[in-house]
Amino acid sequence: MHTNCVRRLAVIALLLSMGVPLGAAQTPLQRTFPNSKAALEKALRNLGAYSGGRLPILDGFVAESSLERYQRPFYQYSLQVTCAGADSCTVRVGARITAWYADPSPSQSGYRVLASNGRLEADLLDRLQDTLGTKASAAELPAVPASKPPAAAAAPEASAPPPYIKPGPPVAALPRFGAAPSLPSRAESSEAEPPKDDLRIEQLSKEAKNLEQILRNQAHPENLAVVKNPNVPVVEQPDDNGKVLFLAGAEDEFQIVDTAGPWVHVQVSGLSRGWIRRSELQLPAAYEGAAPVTAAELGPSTPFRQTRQETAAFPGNWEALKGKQVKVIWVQPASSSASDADKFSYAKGVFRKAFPELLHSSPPLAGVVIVFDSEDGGMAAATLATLQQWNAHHMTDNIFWKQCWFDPAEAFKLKD
Amino acid sequence: MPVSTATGAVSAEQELEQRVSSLRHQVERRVKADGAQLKSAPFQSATTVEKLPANAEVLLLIVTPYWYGIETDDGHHGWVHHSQLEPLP
Repeated sequence: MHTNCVRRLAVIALLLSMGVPLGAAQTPLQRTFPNSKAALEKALRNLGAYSGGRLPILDGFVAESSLERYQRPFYQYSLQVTCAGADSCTVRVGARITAWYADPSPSQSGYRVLASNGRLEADLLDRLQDTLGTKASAAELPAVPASKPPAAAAAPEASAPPPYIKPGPPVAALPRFGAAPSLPSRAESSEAEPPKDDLRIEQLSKEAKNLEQILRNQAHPENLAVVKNPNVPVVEQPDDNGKVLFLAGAEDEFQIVDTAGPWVHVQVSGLSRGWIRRSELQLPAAYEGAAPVTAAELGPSTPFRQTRQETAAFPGNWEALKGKQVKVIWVQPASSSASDADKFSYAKGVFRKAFPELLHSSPPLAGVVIVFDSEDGGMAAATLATLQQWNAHHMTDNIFWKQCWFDPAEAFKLKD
Repeated sequence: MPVSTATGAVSAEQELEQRVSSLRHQVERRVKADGAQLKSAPFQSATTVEKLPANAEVLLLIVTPYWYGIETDDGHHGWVHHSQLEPLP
């Protein structure tokens, strides 16, 4: 669904506002084992318990029953090992499950935390028990909430975050490795238990995959203005006598909304905007010398305007660009009368302008995505190869469009 | 286990460890000193979300010329100036 991808990109690119509060209750489970703390922690590492991962489905893992609007679920365990003696330790497991909630109204969409029904926790405790080949002394019990530990309990394990959810933007659900993915040293490996090579390799492979995904998703926004000197006024209106909102410091960065002559309109936070003199800013290459692509530049009657651009992993499922770094260009309607024909016409101009930049991009980019950020918007994408042929006039517009990717297709009605 | 198989497993494990270590160096940084400010936006007068302890390892989600958009170990998000972080040892 295009809205999903659009919002996910927005969250990673901005990371500015304190987004959707994530707050579902969850009750950790605990089980006591006749093993040392070191042995338990080692076994948990070998099981990949510190890594988390993607859930193929939500059904059967969460308490909530209405799941049709949830997509891309992830889980992350929180673990505590507390010991009453050398060979009696309690493992306490909580599972945080997050998923994208696609609401019909985009403003209500966002990542949400779902309460675990305990299956993930119980499964981990079972696997731990199987791995250790020991019998736990008690069946799992709901643990005492982390915020109120019993007086007799040992100090919480520093490496495991408590299973409470704090407010945070949706990127909280990005796949990531565990809280402390420290690798066992050679000395540890030669301890009591023999190393389980397969498990270890599996754990490392998972961790490498997670890290690769994080690296692919890492955003490098190209629409930031950097303040060159200390105490630069950010004003309410593009006027030296305008109300000063605050003084920006050297190396402060602001997202560029637009430019107007000697002034740059910037986003301060959320919906808050301000103006800074262009001479006080270091602007990205695309904005230096020439104004960014604006409605005026693309023609006075164009019903769209470019709001920002960035380099990011391709946000869709199209095989041609899946997992590759692309230029993402965001546009918004400048009027309410935008038609499908306007969309194609505007996209054509944006693709044309983006192509030369793509040729000289470093690192190389595989294509361009235009995100129409509106209720009836959607995304249009083209690969570098297609753009190259089209720009060299080796294909007609109609053939070009047929080689592009549209999501959702119904938002782009191509007429022959 | 035959010696060659064991050697192969160790070698695969070592390669993976190196790969993970290399990736971690690319996507993680460490807080240099106590009190590094996690900001709600990439400018100094933005609200301070929390202060980070020395040596805390953070995940880099966004990279800009002077700021990193990061995720902390406990899932908090915000911005930290480059000067307050250092590469992993």
